[in-house]
Amino acid sequence: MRDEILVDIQHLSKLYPVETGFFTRTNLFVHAVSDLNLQIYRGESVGLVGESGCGKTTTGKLLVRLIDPTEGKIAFHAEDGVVDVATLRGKALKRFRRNVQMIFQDPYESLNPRMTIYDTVAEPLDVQGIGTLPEREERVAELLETVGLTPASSFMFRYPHELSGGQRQRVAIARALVVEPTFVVADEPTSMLDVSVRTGVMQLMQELADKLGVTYLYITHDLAVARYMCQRIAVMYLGKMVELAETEELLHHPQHPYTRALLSAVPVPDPTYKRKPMEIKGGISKPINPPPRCRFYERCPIADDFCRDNDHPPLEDKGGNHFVACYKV
Amino acid sequence: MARFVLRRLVRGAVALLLFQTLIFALVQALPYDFSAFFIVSPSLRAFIREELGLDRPLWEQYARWMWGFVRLDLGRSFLYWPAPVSRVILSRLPRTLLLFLPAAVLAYLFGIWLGKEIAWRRGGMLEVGASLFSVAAYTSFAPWLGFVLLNVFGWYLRWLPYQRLVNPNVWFNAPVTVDRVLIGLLGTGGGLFAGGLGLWWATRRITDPLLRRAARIGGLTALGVAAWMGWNASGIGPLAADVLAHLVLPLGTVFLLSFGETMMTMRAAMLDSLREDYVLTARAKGLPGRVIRDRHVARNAILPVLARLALSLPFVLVGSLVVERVFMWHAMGQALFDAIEFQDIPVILGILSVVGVLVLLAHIVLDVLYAWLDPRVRYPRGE
Amino acid sequence: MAAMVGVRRAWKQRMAAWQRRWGTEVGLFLRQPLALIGLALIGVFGLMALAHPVLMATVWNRARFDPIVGYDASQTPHPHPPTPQHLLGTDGFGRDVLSQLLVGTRVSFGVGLIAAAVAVLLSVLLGGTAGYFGGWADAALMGVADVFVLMPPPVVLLIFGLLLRLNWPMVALSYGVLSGLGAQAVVVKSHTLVLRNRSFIEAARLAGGGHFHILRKHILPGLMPLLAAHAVFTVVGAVLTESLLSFFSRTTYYLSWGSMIWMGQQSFRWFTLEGQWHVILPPAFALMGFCSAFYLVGRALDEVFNPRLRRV
Repeated sequence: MRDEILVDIQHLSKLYPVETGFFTRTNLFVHAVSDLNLQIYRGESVGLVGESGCGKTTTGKLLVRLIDPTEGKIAFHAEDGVVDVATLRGKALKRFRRNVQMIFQDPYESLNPRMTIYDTVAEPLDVQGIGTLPEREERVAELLETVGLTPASSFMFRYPHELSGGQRQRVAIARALVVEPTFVVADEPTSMLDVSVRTGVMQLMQELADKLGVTYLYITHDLAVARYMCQRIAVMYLGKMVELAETEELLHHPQHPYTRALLSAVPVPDPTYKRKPMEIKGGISKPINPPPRCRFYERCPIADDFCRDNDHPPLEDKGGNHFVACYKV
Repeated sequence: MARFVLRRLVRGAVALLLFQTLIFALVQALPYDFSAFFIVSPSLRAFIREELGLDRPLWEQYARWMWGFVRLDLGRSFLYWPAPVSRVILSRLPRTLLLFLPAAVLAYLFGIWLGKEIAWRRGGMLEVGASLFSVAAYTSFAPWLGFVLLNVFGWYLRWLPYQRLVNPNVWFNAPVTVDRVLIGLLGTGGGLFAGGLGLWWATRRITDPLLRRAARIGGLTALGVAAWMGWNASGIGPLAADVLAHLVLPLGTVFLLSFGETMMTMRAAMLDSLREDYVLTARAKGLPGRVIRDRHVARNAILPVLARLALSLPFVLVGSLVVERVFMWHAMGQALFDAIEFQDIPVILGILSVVGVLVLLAHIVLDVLYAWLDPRVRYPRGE
Repeated sequence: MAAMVGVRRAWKQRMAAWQRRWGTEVGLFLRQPLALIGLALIGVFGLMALAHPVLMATVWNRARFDPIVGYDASQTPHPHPPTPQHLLGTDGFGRDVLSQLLVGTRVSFGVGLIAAAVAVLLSVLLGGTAGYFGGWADAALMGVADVFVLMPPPVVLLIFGLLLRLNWPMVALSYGVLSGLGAQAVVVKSHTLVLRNRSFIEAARLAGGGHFHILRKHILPGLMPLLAAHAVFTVVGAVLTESLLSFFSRTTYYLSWGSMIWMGQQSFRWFTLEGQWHVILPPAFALMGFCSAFYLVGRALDEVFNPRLRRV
């Protein structure tokens, strides 16, 4: 299972122009995602972790082609052959949408308040022209029960404002799964929910992954969530991936100074536990035309002149599928 | 901020040029040429055609038209031949402004105040009554409302003079022209308005509410007395008083027509802003009701009201142009109707341009004001 | 999967859902006294518009009560104050004021509805396209709106009226064009922009929906409340402008409240110094009532669909 690649991301970049003058064309760009490489295998869950503004949501939207990449290739291995997500158009793009879905962060925003739950969940079927009306209704009812909205008949014709946040996110999950996708990007699906219902939604997503064989890219800023959900974790900083490893490996042997800093910020429920905190300076900024040096240079506690004078370090295998982008480790 | 203003000005200039182009296109689209309006001798018609440039190719007419607009040369009036259109309009502008500006300012101030009050005491007869009255006034037919006020207060009750700008008996052998007095009055009004604003600004740091109120009322009284004494000393006080007496009815009409819209907008904005959490915070802090209303709710509610002002301003202007006609207040509205009656095309197009420029100026000023008050507007989306 | 929802039963639940959804909003609307007053007035005017052909066919003698060419020789001089036969009296030409008033209602409804339809259609086309597609479409279309904003419909129409006399459908059409392409397009655009950036639009794109699907299923329903309010306010503006034009005789000759008021004012100068208030007051109050009714309904709609204005 581990060796069958589902998504192969090569040199993926997204640049946003910064608006400046009225007439002048800008040459300032925000490098939201730059030169990202990642292979996602069929059936696994990969966590994408980083501060807000580091480009993780942009990456997610690039993978499902909600935004067009500036550069790079995303090879998606569908059952009927490999497609390059970056250049899909028209019919092929519409077909691709059956294979890939996304769950959004805010369940209050991602459901149209003027549509019933049935209409929302059935929308992909409707647009893709899948099934007859009774078949769609049956499929939606079935799926609503699967995501724990039972009995389905009492939820189908309600409106989003009649549901709680957790229930809405379950509806969003049902909508994402209704076309039986193989790959789902989950963009912090639990971060807007009450703590009490988070675990429920996370458990549901895991069950569904096992049952339906869905592959997840799980975007989060919370390492604990990523640990619960994912087999591998990728850490992003200012549009660059800085570390990638198996979950337990990354959590126990973090190598990049940024990952170490992130981990030292996680509270440990043990008052006697002592650890040496990793201090980093300053706050995250926008990567507008970043200078050719390590992106983490300004905040890094172990950086030296070599880091300043050379381009951002490449991601290197440090053994055991543990990739780190740092000159100093 | 400077960049925002510059950007807005450029956008406005582009819009203005397009607007002029559209007027030109409309005139061209008409199925006849101007010279055919008059039954005159062929030689005179040829003269008119030449004067208007109708014998030139279309692109040259267009270039002349646009270049003329840029130089503020709008051609010559047919009716007041050979007076240039710009002079016909400019000579009437102070009279329109004397009616339009005070009416607009008073209507907005009153509308904002009343909207604030009825939103604060939501529900009950005051709200329904004030809403009904203001909506009825707002939707009244302008010429009819003027006509009723004129009949009731001018004709039956004889409280106020009606029709025309001045009473000829008072002005017999007057040492100055009417327009001179009008401009003086406009200046006085502007001065009083600016003085009032300055006073409010200067006294806003006085913490004791009683003292502040006393200072404000005292200051306003002093300003009023100063203006009154100034006019008395000038020797043309009675003349100014005559103009003011004639101003009351048309001004009242425009005021009645205009305040309702502002009031209803302010009321809605107040109710909107009353839902905000910071109002609850203010209540929890134990602030007195007046302070919550004025400092916390009304101040935030003002923003959407300002945004709507720009949209309602042209309608206040139209209202005052029509009311001028009813009260025979010889100003731009009267010039427009005269021009329409006598088919004085250059003046009509000139007035259309001036209205466009005034509306554009209002939009720009309010946009800039809005951006100044609410920094979120200044930045283009996505930043 | 026990709880299957059969297609046959589904419509009932859909109805119930609609009722739950719109029930609250209708309820909120009807709870406002001002909205009720407005609705009642619109109802009264609707009845008035319907009453005229019925009355002409049954009770009223065509020669005496025709709104344009009728003349009652039995009661002189004209204008004549109200009598049991002519409930609102007659005008300077001996025509029944009530009959004219009822015909004017029809014109006002016609003007208002045409103008509102045109304005809403154009503002959606212009503002919706600009807001949804952005970029060059936005810049170009908003350039158009910037220009139309500078043209207050009443002034522009007064001038049009000089050059080509307009009939009332043309007045309504022109008003709709001027206001739909101007201020309304700007407001529709900014609302579309807000809607477009919500993530349910992204979800719809992920579902495979094209622009047409998204515009039809998500943007347009989202704009509906705003458009309803705009339509109602356009009725007010269009009817007042039409009256202004017919008052100043800048239209082809047809009967409307504006021209009735003009006739009434003439009777003040021509016949008696005291004036004939019965000629001038009915159309003026009808106009005021008609416009106030629509204005109040518009404000109430605004209050219902703008959830933050709701009374808690």
